[in-house]
Amino acid sequence: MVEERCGNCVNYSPHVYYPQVGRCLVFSTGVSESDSCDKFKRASIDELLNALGGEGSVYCTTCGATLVDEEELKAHSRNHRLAIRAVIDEAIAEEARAD
Amino acid sequence: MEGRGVSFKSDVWVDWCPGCGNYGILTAVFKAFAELKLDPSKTVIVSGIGCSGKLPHFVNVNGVHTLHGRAIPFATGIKLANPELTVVVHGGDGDLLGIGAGHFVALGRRNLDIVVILHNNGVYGLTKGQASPTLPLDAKTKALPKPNIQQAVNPIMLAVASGYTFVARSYAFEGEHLKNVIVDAVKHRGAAFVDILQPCVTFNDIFTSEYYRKRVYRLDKDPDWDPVVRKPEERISKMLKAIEKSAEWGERIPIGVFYVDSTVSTYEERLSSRLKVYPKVNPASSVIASEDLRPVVDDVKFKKIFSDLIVRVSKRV
Amino acid sequence: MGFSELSLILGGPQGSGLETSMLVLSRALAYRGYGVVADREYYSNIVGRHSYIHMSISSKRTPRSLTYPVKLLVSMDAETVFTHFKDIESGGVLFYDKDVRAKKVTEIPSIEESLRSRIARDLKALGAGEDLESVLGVLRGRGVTTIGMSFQEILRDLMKTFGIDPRSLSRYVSGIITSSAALLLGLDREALKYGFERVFAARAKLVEQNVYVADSVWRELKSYEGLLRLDYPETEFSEVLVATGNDVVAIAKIVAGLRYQSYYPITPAADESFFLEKYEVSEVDGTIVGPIVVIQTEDEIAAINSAIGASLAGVRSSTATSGPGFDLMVEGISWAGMNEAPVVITYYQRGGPSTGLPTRGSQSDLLSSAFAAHGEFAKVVLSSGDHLDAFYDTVLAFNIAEKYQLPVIHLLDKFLANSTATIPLPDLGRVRIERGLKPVPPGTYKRFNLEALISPRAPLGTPGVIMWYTGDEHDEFGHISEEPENRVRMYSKRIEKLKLVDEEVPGDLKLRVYGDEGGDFCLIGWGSVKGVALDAVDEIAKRGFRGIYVDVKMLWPFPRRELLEVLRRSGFGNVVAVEHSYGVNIADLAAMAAGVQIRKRIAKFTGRPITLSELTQALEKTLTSDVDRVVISYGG
Ligand SMILES: Cc1ncc(C[n+]2csc(CCOP(=O)(O)OP(=O)(O)O)c2C)c(N)n1
Ligand code: SF4
Ligand SMILES: [Mg+2]
Ligand SMILES: [Zn+2]
Repeated sequence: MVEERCGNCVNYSPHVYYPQVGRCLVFSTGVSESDSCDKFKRASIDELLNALGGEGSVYCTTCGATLVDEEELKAHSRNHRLAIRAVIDEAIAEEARAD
Repeated sequence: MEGRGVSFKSDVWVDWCPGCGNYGILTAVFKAFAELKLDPSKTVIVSGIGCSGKLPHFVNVNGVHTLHGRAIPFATGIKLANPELTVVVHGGDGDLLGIGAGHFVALGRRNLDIVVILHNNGVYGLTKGQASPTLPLDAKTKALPKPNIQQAVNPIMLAVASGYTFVARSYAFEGEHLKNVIVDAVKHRGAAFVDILQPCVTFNDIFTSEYYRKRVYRLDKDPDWDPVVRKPEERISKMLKAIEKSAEWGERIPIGVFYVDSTVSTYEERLSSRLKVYPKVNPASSVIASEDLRPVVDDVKFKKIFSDLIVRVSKRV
Repeated sequence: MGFSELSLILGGPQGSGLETSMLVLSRALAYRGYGVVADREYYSNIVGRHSYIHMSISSKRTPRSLTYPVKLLVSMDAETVFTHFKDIESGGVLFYDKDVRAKKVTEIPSIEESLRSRIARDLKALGAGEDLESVLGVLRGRGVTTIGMSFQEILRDLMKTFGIDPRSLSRYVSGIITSSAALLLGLDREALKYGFERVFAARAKLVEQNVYVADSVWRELKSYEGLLRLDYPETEFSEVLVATGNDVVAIAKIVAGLRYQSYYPITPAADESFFLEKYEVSEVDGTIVGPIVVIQTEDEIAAINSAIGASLAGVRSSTATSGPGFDLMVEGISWAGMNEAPVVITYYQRGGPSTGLPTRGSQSDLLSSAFAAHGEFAKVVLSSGDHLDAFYDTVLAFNIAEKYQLPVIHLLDKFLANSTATIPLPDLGRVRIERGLKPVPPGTYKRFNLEALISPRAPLGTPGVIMWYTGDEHDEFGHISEEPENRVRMYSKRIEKLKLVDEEVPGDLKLRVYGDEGGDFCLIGWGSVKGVALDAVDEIAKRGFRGIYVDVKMLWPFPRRELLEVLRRSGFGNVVAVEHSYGVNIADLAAMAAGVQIRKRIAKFTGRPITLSELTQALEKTLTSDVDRVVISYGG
C-alpha cells in the first residue's frame, strides 16, 4: 500500500528543481511531498493515462522528462515517480540565457 | 535650395537603355517632387542595386545608393534618426522581393512613414536578364536558356499581407497616373508601396510596353471601387478585396490604388508613445555634447540616471 | 586574521535563482567595501542544465582573475557537487542540500554522458560510491567542512508561513544560498538585507521573506558564522558600479551620445540592447538625455545597414552582435568603408565556428574582424581588457569612428559581457565627445572632397545642402565614377585615413605595458585575458620570473611601432602570447603587421575563461622549457 502523502498523490505537481516541494492541483497551494490531506488520490496508472489523454503529456519526476505516449508512460511508471505536470519556476524566464 | 532652381534633374547622364521603363519612372518622380514642392535637402532617395538602383544619382535631392536588397534598412535608419526627412526607396523586383524580401515584409509590419517604389521588370536587369521573383512560372524571356521553373510572387498581395497601409500600382509609361500615385504615396502617413510595371527593352520580351498598353486599365474609372479603410472594422474586407483585385492578371491588368488604411498607427507614433519626446526631440535634433566637447551626462547626472547600479559603500565600524 | 582574497562557486540548474544570488551577494559585498568579479557559466538551454557562478572576492581591490581551487562551493543541487567537488581546496567548505544526499551521479539526467562517466571513474579511483553521501565522505577526508541544510524544510516552512507560490521557489532557494555564503564569509545580516533590498527593489514582500530565510539560516548555522571570514576591507571605494560588461558598454554608449542602436537578438550581445532600451530616454535636472531609438530588426543585415543609415543622418549609431551576426553584417561594413560612414559594431565573441558554443566565451574572431569585408578600406578594431577599459574604449570607438569617418569594431567577448564586477565610477571629467564635425564650406557641397583625407561631413537633412552616397566608386559629389584617375585618388584616400589613426591616436590607447621592463619575459595578449595575465605576472614573480604584460588595445591598425619599441627595450627573447583561441592569433597578426616572431603560445578554447592557476603554470612551462605551445583547459 502506498503511503497517503502528497508526494504520492496524483494532484501533486512537483517543482522542476526541488521536487520535494510542489503545488497541489486541488487546492492550488504550495505543499511538501511529506504533507497529507483527505483528498488524497493515488497517482495510479489509470489516473495518469487519463491525464495523458487530457493534457497531452505527463511528467516523469525521476527522469525530468516529458512523456507523450502511453507506451512511454507505462515504461516509466514501473519504477519512476510520475506527475501530471511540473511546476516551472518564474525565475527561469527571467534568468534564462541561451543561444 | 540655392542655385539649382526648381529642377529636380541632376547633371548626371542617364545611362539606362533607350526605351527602358525607368525613364518614365524618373520623369514621374521629377514631376511628383515638383508638385509636392519637396525641399531637396530634406528629401532622401534610397535605392538598392540594379538598373533601378541608379535612380538617385539622376535626381537633385539627397541620394543614398546602397547594397543589393538593403535599401529599406538604410532608409529605416535614416528616417528614424531624422523623422523630418521625406524618405523614398527605389528598388528592383530582385532587390526588394528576392534578396531583400525579409526587409520588405518588416517595413510593412512597422508601418514606418517611408515610400517604397518597385521597378517591376520581371528580370534581373543589371546582371543580364535572369528571372526575377515577379516572372511567372513557365515564362521564357529571351535571356533565359529555358523556361522559368519558379513561381512569381504577387507584390500587391505581399504588401497588403505585410501591413503596408498604402498599396498601389501604376505603369511606367502612364506618366500622369504614375505621378499622381507617387504624390499620394508620399502624402500618405505610414508605409506606402507602389508597384510600377516597368518594361525592360533589353531582356524582357514578354512584358513589353506593347503588352501593357493593351491591358492596363484604371481602377479609379470604376465608381464602385473604394480602397479606403475608414474604420478598423472594414480592414479585413478591404484587404480581401485588394487581394482579390490584385489576382487579376492577363488580359486585363488593373492599375491604381488597391488599399489605403490610415487607421493603423505609424512606427513613429508607436515610438513616441515610448520615447515621449519623440519625434520633436529626435536622434538628429538632440544634443550629445557641449561646446567644449563634454558629454551631456556629467558626473552628477550619471549618478542619477544609473543609481540602480551604484552601491554606496558603507564599511562596518 | 581572515582572507584577503577568496574565490567561490555558486552552482545550480539554469534559472534556479543563481542570477539573483549573484546580484544579491555582489551588492552586499560591495556595500561592505569588498571588490568582486563574477563569471557566469551556462549552457545553451532554458530549463534544467547545470550553470554556475565563479566569483573572486578581495578585501583590497576588484579582483582581476578567477582562480581554482575555490574555498567555498555553494550548491543548489547534487549535480553541482558532482561537477565541482574536485575544485574545493582542503580547508574549504561545501554547502549542500541535505535532501539530495542519496542522489547518485548516474541518476542525474541533465549531466552530459561523457562528464557523468568521467565523474563515475574519478569516484571509483577514490574508492568512493556514486552517491552524494560518498562524495561528502571524500571531501571530509580531504579536510573540507561539509555543511548541509534541508531546503525542503525551509521551503515548506515558507509555504506555511507566507503561503508562497511554488512557482517562485527559486527566489527563496537563492535566499538560502546567498545567506549561507554571507554567513560563512562573515558578512552581517544588515549587509545581506541591503543586497535583498537593492535586488528586489519595489517588492517589499520578497525582501521580508528573504530576510526570514536568512534568519533561519543564521539560526541553524550559527556555529559556522565567519568560518571563511574575509579581512576587514582596505579598498578605497566610496561608491562603485556593480554591473556586467554588457551594462558598462551600454552605459558608455549613453554617455557617448548614442542615438540609434539596432540589433537582432543573439547571446551574449542582446542584453546590451535591452539595457539601452530601458534607458532610452531620461530627464535629469531638466535635461533630456536621449532619445535613443533602439530597434530590433528582422536580421543582422538590417541591423548594420539601418545603423549606417542613421549615421548618414548625423547621429551616433551602433549595433551589437556576436560571430554569426557579424558574418551577416560584413557587406554592410564594406559599404560603410566605401562611404566613409562612422558606425560602431560592438562584437561580443563566443565559441565558434557556426553556433559552436553559443553561451561560452572565445577570442577566436580576431582575424575575422580585422580582415572582414571585401575591398581595401580603413577600419579600426579596438578591444578592452576589463569593465572600466570597456567604458572608455566605447567612447573612444565613437570618437574614432566620427573623426576618421569609418567603421569601428569594438571586439569584446562573452567573458566580459556576462561577468559582474565592482567597478569604480568612471571619471566623466576625462571624457570628450570628438565628432570631427567641421563647418560645411560654402559653395556646392562635395561629400567626398579630395582636398584632405577627411572630408567635411554634413548630415542628410542639413538645410541647403544635398549629397549622394553610393557603394560604387564615386567622385567628390558621391556620383558613380569609374574613371581611373579618380579611382586612384578616392581609393587611396579611404585607405590612407588609417595612417592618420595610427599617427594621431595616443600610444597609450593603442597598447599598454604593465610591469617593469627589463625582466625575463614579455606576455602579450588582448581583451579579456588582461586581468588573469596581470595576476599571472605577479604570481610568477613570486617564483622568481620577472616580466611584463603587453595589452594590445588597438588591434587594427596594429600598433606596430609601439610594440616594436616595447620589445626593443625588453629584448626580443621570451615573448609569450596568450589568447582564448586555438591559434593564439595575436601572434600571427603581430608577425604580419610588425614582423615579430612570437613562437611561444598559450591557448585555451574550451569556452571557459583562463584561470590564474592554469595560466601561471603554463607560463612557467614556456619559460623553463623549450615547449612552445601549451593548451590549457581547466573548468567545467
Ligand atoms: C549580394 C549581391 N549579390 C548579387 C549582386 C549582383 N546583382 C546586381 S544587380 C542584381 C539584380 C538586379 O535585379 P533587380 O533588383 O530586379 O533590378 P533591375 O536591374 O532589374 O532594376 C544582382 C543580382 C549584388 N550586387 N549583390
Ligand atoms: S537592362 Fe532593362 S531595366 Fe536595365 S536599363 Fe536596360 S531596359 Fe532598363
Ligand atoms: Mg528587375
Ligand atoms: Zn522516468
